[in-house]
Amino acid sequence: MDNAELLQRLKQPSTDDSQQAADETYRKYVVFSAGESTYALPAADVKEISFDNTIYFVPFTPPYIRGFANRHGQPYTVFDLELLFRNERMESGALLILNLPHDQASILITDVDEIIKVPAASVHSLTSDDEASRYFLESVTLGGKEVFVLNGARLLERLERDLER
Amino acid sequence: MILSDESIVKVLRIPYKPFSFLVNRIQCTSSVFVAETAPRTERFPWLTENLVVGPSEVPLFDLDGFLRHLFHVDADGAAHLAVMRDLNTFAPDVRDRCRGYGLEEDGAVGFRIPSATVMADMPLSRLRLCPGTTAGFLERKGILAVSVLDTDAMHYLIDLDILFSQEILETGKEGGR
Repeated sequence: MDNAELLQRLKQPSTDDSQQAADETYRKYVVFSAGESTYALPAADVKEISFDNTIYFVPFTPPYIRGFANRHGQPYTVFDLELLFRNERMESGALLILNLPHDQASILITDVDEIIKVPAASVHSLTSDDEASRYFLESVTLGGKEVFVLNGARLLERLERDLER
Repeated sequence: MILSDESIVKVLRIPYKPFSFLVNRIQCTSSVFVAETAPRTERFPWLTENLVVGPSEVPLFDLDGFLRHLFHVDADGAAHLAVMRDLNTFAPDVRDRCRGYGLEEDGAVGFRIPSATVMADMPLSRLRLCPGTTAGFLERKGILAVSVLDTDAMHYLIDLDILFSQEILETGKEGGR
């Protein structure tokens, strides 16, 4: 094909629309383990997966803040979900760096289990209104089990509240 | 957030493992070698000895022990150096607290620090504010910023006056360590 035809085909919107429509019926998540627990994050909320990090202790912060990590010359707050939810301390150097517009935060993880694309029908709203559920957006059915999708913004809200006390 | 200014701030770099502390040079009047000390009759947490300077004795706060305790860091060598500070250079509320320790208002205090402490020029471009949610809170606590000197390392820029006033002197008042 010549360039004129090539450009014409590239500019054709119909294929993109159908691809985008197909994408909207699927959602992408990063599934990870943190100690004994498994969680998911919307893939768009994850900037980076990073291993072998050194975490630098920061005093005055709540116990679930393990400290700061230095990624590409920027400090990131490190959240320990096991301490936050189960009062059990994790030992790891692996982090999920969150994609946040106005903050720099990360989650301490054991490992990334998989990056998945699931049909929207496998995603379920949370009906419970208890304290723990506030940290989660929704749940995803994976291999017959429900995996809760974390709400990163709620972690920062919790930290802000605890620092103000 | 990056402090994108090519100005230089003169700091003391106080080394520990696994990270160091930076203190703005303007918070230190001078520094001396801790050649001789004398035990204090009235002792407080972080203040158990005086530095002997000629015929005088100057209260010597154990900043070294305090930093190791608060930040969970390990010593990187002996601590035989002291930074000196004239009490009249502190804010009025800090001077008031110092009176509670029996310190003379026109006197000086010393802060024991590691012998490997050095003076350094820190470009502001090497400093970063603490991450968003924590920044304002930690600033009020005396942790002002972090420096990114090496690929993975991190060092804290601390405010000596705030930590001295809110933590060292407060700990003494409350009687705990």
